[in-house]
Amino acid sequence: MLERKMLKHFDWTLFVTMVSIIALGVIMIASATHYAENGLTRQIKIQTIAFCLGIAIMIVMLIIDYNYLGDLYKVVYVLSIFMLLLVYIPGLGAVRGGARSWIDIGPIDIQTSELAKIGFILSYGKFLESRYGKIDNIMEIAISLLFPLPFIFIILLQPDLGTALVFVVITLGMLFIAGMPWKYFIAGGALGIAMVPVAYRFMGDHQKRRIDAFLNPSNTDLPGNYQVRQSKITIGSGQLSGKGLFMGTQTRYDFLPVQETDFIFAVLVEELGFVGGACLIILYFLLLYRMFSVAKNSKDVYGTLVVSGVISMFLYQIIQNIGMTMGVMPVTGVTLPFMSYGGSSLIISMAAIGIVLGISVRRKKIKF
Amino acid sequence: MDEFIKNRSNQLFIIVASIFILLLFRLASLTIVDGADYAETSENVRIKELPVTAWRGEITDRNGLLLAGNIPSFTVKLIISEIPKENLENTAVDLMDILDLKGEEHIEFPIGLGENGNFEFSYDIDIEEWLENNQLHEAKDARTAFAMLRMREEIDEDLSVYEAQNLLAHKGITPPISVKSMKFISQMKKEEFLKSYGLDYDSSSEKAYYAIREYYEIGNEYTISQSLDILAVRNAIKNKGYRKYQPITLADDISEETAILIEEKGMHLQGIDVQIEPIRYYPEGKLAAHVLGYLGKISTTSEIEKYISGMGYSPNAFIGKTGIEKSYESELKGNDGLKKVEVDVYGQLISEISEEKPVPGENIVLTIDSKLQKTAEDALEKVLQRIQTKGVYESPWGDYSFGEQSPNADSGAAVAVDVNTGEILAMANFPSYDPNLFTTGINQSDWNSLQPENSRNPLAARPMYNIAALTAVQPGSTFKMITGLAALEQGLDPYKQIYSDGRIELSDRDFGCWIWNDYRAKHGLTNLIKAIEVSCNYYFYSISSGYDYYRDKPMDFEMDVETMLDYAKKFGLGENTGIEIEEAAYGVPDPDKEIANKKYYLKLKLKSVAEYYFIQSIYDNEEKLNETVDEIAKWADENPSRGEIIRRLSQIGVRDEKVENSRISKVESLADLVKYSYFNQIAWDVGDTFNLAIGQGGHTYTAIEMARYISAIANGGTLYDLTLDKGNRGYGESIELKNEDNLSYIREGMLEVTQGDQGTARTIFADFPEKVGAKTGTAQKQGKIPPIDEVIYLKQHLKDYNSYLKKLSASGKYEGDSIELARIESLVNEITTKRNEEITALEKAGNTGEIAERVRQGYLDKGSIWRYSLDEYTNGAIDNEEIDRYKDDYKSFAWFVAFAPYENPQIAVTVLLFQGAHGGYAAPVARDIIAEYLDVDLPVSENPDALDNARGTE
Repeated sequence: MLERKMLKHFDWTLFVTMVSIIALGVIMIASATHYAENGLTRQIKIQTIAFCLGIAIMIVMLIIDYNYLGDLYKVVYVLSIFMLLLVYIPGLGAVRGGARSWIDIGPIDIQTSELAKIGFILSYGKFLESRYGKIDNIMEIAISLLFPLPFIFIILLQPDLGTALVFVVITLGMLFIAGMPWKYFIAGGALGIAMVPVAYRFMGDHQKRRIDAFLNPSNTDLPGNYQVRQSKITIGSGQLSGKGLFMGTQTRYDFLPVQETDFIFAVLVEELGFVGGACLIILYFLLLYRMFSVAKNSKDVYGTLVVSGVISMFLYQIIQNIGMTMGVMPVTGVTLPFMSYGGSSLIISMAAIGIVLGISVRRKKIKF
Repeated sequence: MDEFIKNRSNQLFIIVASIFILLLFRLASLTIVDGADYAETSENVRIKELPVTAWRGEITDRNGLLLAGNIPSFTVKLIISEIPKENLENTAVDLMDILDLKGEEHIEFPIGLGENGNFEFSYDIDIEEWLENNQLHEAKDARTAFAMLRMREEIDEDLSVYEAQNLLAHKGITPPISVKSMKFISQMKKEEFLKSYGLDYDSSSEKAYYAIREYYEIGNEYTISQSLDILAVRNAIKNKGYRKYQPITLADDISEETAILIEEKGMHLQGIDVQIEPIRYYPEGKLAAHVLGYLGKISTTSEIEKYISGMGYSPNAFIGKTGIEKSYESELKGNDGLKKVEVDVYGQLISEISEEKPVPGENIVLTIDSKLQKTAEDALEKVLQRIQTKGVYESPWGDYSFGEQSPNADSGAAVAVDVNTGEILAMANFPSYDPNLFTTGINQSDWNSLQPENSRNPLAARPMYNIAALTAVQPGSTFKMITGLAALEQGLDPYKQIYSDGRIELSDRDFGCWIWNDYRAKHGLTNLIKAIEVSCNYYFYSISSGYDYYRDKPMDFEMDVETMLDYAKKFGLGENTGIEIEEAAYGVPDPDKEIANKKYYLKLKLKSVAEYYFIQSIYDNEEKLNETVDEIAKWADENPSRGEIIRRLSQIGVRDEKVENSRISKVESLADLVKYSYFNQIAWDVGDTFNLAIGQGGHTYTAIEMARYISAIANGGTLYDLTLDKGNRGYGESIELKNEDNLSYIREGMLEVTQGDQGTARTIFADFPEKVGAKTGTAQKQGKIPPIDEVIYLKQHLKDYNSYLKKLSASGKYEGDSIELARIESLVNEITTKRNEEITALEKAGNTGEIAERVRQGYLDKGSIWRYSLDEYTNGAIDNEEIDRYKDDYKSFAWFVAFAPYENPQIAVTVLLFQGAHGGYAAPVARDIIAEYLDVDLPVSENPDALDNARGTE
């Protein structure tokens, strides 16, 4: 439980950074949904409500001792997988955007893989804690890789390659911090690269075309390339200081598709220029830096591992999304944390921050 | 342990930091390095341009009367971004109601309600109509229809569909079928339409209607008819795709009433705009149509290159296709305006950024005098109609009764020129057309009505053809003034008389004067003045060669054909007159060139038969062969006797053998070939000169060339360039003459044509108060008038051919059968099949050049196959001459040239009538034009009932 004195260790910087990014996100969503013409749009309202809910959940995660959850890691693990399988219940499960990743609870949809991310991090962290420093032979590695496999597999079936990759990165990140030797990473990397052509053959057409599209950016007939091209125009035309808030012409005239979600970064740069974009990148960097701090000062390995998982999760999403808008990463439907419009995404991200804060306030006392 | 973690965390941190730096670099690259380019691109994607058509420059006559202008045309347009979404349906229904009430055509939905109350696709209706029109009712689909066409046209089964399609096209048959997929084009459009709504290709029209209705969520409160209106609009919007910022035309060319009605409803019809666009309008209809020309859409490759690529015209723009509209296209066009608008990604209009107003085109003032033009056009029409019916040409200046009927005198031209400036006061053609038919795109039936009825007849009436400037014809006697002038310049005494003896007998042919040919009479003592007055051929034959044939001695001056033709050139004959619209000129006959051409063909012929006729040593050696052939060709000038040729040929190296199955030797055979087929034609003899002297033979000149030459005679020797543009300064050059007074003798002779006792136009000008100098001319046209349908003609005259064959049989010259319809038809079918097979073989061999050549020569033409069959059937007894016997001859062209007033000439007029029969028949037209121009008083005639039946003849 939470003790008052722990609040002294509350990492205000982290919190404020997060809130800043969210605020910036709301402003950009307003622009992307044509606040200038339509006033407070539905998306602005939902994002704000989600923020409020997120705060509530953050408080909950702060209060709950993370080790409590850690001890229940097996339950958490099973529950998380169960969550993923909920989408296959007819009537409950829903297909959105071509992937069976959602459950439909009346007025809102919940993307279960979002919840599963948290569950995974919490359970995997505990799993690795006991193996910390010992993951240096094939046997251990194999077992460690088996743990995340069901998640990745089920999510790939939805199909949602983007989210599956998030899980892969989280896994790698946590393994890295847990001490798996470099040589295995390198070997794994080499094996991965070698497997790419084979994987390509087994990929569904949809994914294949995504890869083709990425390799041929100038052909706007291939899926996603039109959006990326528009995105680059949008970003580039912002130049140094942008066209002004709510004045982005690409945004205003809908030249950029899904601008309030996947391409929100482009909206930001069009309107606030390089300066605005750089600011956001720096804010994200600051966010991650604070989390690294928490990781290093955590009182136990479990805490460190959990924070590492959260860092990996955010890191992948940030790089994938911003990279995609700038044409250096293939198009996958990964949202930009705290910025993109999306209720469940925002709440889950805030919950994750909540857990990190929870770890932070329970950290070791600094011994003088 | 702590250290270890820290190490890992730090490592990960470093990796993160590096990646973030890379992202910053990429961001900088896009925004700072390439930012300006991207900014520009974002501008381009957003801003669209809408052209605004400029008003076309006006064309007026010399007095300012409007001949070509603009009138506003009202177009109903829909501007999508201005319609509140919830109003779209009601707006569509209300608007269509108004349009239907006023009977205006508007866009339709491809599905409609048929007469029986059932739904039907317009695409299906189109297909059915085509099948009906082409007698293919039994065919239900494209494949069957195509197969039936193949069978009907007897196209070989082995050919592929592409080859079959090619052959059909050669025959002028182009079914609206895509052979690649074997579907009707309408069918493919229908499928595209259905696909665009996610419907199956075999959806019934009813099903499609309801499905699309649902797609657009059209409520049940609308009736079917109303729904169709809504669907028409919705579909049109959908088809605009990304160009939604462009207004959609819902109805064009509506009446002003309708436009006002719609404007009044303005408030309730938001998003509907009635726009005024200029369309070309010719208030005087057919008047001067050939001078003005007509408009059309840009269509040929060269037009596309010139106007769209080169001058930035819109692909839908109308351009001048002929006449002043074409020649002055860039001046008349003006500058289209440009509206720049901002659009969103759906193509919807957001706002107007800028507007460049259009600049109207320049106005052009013509030299044409509308009143005179009208007089000329009416006179032409009247005279032709009366000649066709052997009627009376009525006019206040004297009625004229036509003695000979020429039922095919159906077209003509008249040109009037100001002799002191070269300005064209009138250029009339009959028949004419109304250029108003073209201003918004001509429909098929109107176009068809302007095409000649019988395209195989070169003299058939072609309403759209500017005969005055484009049709060149032998001038006949109107050329004689050139001959006379040339002789005068060479030293002829105009008053010296020679005895005109009716006819000149040359060694191989006779040359008669018309008075001898028609009446076996002679003109007797004739000088130049009289010769022009009575148009005496004999006199001109004499002076053209400088020889008095009656007294059989040379005249006291030298004259040859070269000199004569030189004067023709000096007076502008054979060259372009300089007018601003399309004209044609074919030069003056060139005896040397003709001789050279014929020699060339002789040489070709000799080389092609070289192996047969020449000995080996010549035939094998190219150089020797050329030498021999050149030598033989040289003899052509001399045209030696047959015996002499035989002697020379045996010496030059022709084989001595006998020709197969014959008694003559190859030397004799070659001599015959060379002499009768070539030398006789090549050698220029005085008879050829005679023909040219009286305006027959190789001359071809247009009416405007003639007008220009007469002007030069009338104005005393200045050759002006003719012009239609009042703004052009007259350009004229003095003709180099040895003695300018010579022209006055010519004019004197021309005066006598209208005043003299025997003047060939005396009766027409008998009561005319103004003194006019003139000349009649009658020029023959060779050949027979082709019937519209050759096969029908042939079948109709089979009995005549049979009578002929009977006569031949009776005198033992024919031993075959008479022609039976069934047998000749079966022979025709046999030959048709054979020829189709040959074409098939050529098609398979890919020999398209040969196919085109044969088709051009009528190889597959039913008429020509019939003729060939008749020839075969009767073993040549029924030859071309006999076949054509029952066709009409062309009657002669009628020419009349004149200038007035005689003392101080102002105007020159040329009139040409196709198949007018006699030059004098064209005279009334010229007279009435002159009367109008000079504002001549009406004659006070003592005997208004006196009609003269005399003919003006040549």
